[in-house]
Amino acid sequence: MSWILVAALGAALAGTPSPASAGGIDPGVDAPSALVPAANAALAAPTAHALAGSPVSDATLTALADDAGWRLRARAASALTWRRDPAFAEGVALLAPATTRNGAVRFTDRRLRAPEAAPLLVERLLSGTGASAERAALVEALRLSGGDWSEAAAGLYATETDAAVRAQLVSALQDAEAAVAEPTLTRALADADAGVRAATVRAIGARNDGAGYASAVYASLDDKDPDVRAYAARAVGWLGLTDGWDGVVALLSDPSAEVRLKAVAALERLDAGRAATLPELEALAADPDARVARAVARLLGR
Amino acid sequence: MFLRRLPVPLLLGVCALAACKKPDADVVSPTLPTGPLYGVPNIDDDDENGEPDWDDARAQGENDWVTVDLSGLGDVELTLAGNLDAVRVWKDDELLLDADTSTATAGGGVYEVELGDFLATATLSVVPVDSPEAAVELSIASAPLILNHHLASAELVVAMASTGRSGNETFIAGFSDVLGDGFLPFDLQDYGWDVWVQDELEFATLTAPGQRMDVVIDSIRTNNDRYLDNAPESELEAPDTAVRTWGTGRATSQDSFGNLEVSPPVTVDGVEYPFGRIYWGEVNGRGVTDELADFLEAQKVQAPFQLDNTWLCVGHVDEFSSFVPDPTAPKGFRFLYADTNLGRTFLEGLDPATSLPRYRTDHGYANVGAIVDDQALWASNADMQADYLDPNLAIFKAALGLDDADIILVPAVFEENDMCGGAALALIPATVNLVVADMGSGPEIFLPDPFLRTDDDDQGSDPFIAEVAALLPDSLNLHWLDDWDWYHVQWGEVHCGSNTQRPPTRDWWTDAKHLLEGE
Repeated sequence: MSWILVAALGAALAGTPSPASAGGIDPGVDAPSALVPAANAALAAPTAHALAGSPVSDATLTALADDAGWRLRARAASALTWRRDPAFAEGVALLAPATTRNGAVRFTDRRLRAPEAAPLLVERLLSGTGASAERAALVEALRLSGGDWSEAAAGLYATETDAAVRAQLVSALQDAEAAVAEPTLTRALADADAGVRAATVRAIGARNDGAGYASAVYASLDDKDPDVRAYAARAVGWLGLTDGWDGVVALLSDPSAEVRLKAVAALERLDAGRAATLPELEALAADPDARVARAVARLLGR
Repeated sequence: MFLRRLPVPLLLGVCALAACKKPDADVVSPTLPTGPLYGVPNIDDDDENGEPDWDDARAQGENDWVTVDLSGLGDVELTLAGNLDAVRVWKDDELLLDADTSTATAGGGVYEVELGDFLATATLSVVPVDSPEAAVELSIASAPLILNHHLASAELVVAMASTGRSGNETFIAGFSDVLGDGFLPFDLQDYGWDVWVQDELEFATLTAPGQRMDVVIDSIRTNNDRYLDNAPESELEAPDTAVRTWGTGRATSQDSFGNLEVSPPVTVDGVEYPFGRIYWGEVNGRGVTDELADFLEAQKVQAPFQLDNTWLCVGHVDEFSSFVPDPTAPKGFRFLYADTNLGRTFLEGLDPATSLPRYRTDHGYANVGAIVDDQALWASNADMQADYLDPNLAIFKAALGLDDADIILVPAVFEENDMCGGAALALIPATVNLVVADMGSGPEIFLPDPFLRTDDDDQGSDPFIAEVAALLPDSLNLHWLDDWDWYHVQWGEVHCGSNTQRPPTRDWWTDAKHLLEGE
């Protein structure tokens, strides 16, 4: 029996979404048959805390915590933590975010900066509880935990309904290994929410392998949202995507000042000498946005 | 009628209350004080009845007026003209002149001129009934509100204190050990764990000859009694210390007063600003609330100017600029300004294998090499430098008449933050987010510990501390405070988490006359 089928069956019986129905991100593997009932039980348990209180042995949970599926790993690892260090587990489960200087919330507690916190944070995210800002902050904390997070971030994106949280999830993938990040980042470039698309193209622009997304970045130059276009232009420059030259030149007349600014900077990075000869710069030198005018003056004065 | 301005040889005494003595009865011709009448707007609450004294019929314990001693003159005819909504005259605890009654005849004695607004002006003509040829016209002016700059001595430094497990005792002790009674902690628990006391309030002063009133500008950043909203009233409001708010409605981060600073005295294009110039940052054209901006502009003496903070997550000017005293500097101070090029050069000069535990846990960089090798980080910092830091430095130079000799560029590194839509925050705790406090023993400088080292406990091994210390004037006593857990990771530093009350340094009625009169 396919592992994912078992999981789906167990989840369905428990009335919760299965990994498969939730987007198929969780990779299916053939689990040892002896573990299948335990895996079912683990995924069907309402919480990791509840699983910790079940008769499942530590050895079984340890085996499940090494599974290929991120949900099961998180569930089993969290359950183990609940058994071994309940104070820590409870702390992570209940911790409230701090209010930062600009009023945003963020998890700053040092206890979260530990790999053991990662599965517990995944569990919190999976629970779906908490305000949007708090859940977005959980994603950041997950990323900074240094634990097992990237597959979870990719997987959570598929089922997350809150755009702010999805944006944070794709931002986290800026640091994820290519195989994990690529499918989700590619999918997120077509997200219905502009903020998510902007976060995605921003993340791509900051990835060392971002050039591999060149065609997607070029397509984003034409996005209807100015933030997406601005980050796409920036990505072209940062990643040295020379084939994006014409697309970025077209953005020099964009109605958004931020886009024009990023376009000038991108062209300067790609080929400052060539950029300085562009006739479009004459008008931009008197751009109503001071930042754009300064950027053009800097380019022409090189 | 023959009117002339003071000084005049007349049996007339003019003084501020604190410096005023009633003339002896047998003194026939006292020497008259010279000059117009200068006072402070009576906006405090001397009788502590919850209302500004100007709004009271007569406040008990009142002392914020200017006395005019007309003893021995016999009956006088008094006429008040000018901003009558903001000036009134009392005699023997009775209201004599105001907007409704601008002329009266009364006997000699001590009169009190009360002012109700900032920069109000009026004239009081005094005509002795028995000798009208000796009439005088006294001009009256109330003080502008002045924000005192970092180089003025410090009277009080405040911060929010939390004791117990995971408290900020180390940060608090960093101040109290140096400043002693000059440091006052407020209980953080009483204020919803809001540590950002810099942002909540701004100390200012009103002065007149012999008079001083402190004013705490209460930001609109908090309301509904939440967080630090009530701290100005609970901790600081008192007779001769008023609390006042300008603006209402929904605040932005730019309404916080880490975004409201003032330079040391400067001369710009021949114009002297003896109280310095106020500045704040704007994000997409929005700075401090319009009411406050208009008010500060109207005070004339500290001519505000604006920076572009669009690139910053929090968006305050104290994230990238400050001033420190330096007696060896051409202007007596150095302007400290964040520079990311220097930050990169500095880091590239370090051993890349140097592990950085603090940066690993809170920024995702395990060692120096991880930062140096992050090409996106440097591309981003280069953009910030070109698009904002360099242009803002040009604004500072023009607005304050600075040249390169006045400026110390401080290594800095910012990082884009996902939680802030990609806007920038300090990666290395922002050195310029510092406090200058001179309480008589020299300038004590409180800076954020950068923790750019492997051993948390050994500041002596921190190359960033050594680098910055070498850049700063030798006359400064540097104290590197651990602000990491309570401030840095919550997007602020030492300056953000403290506030400093300073005394007035100059007399506006003489030193800023050219600015008030628009010369």
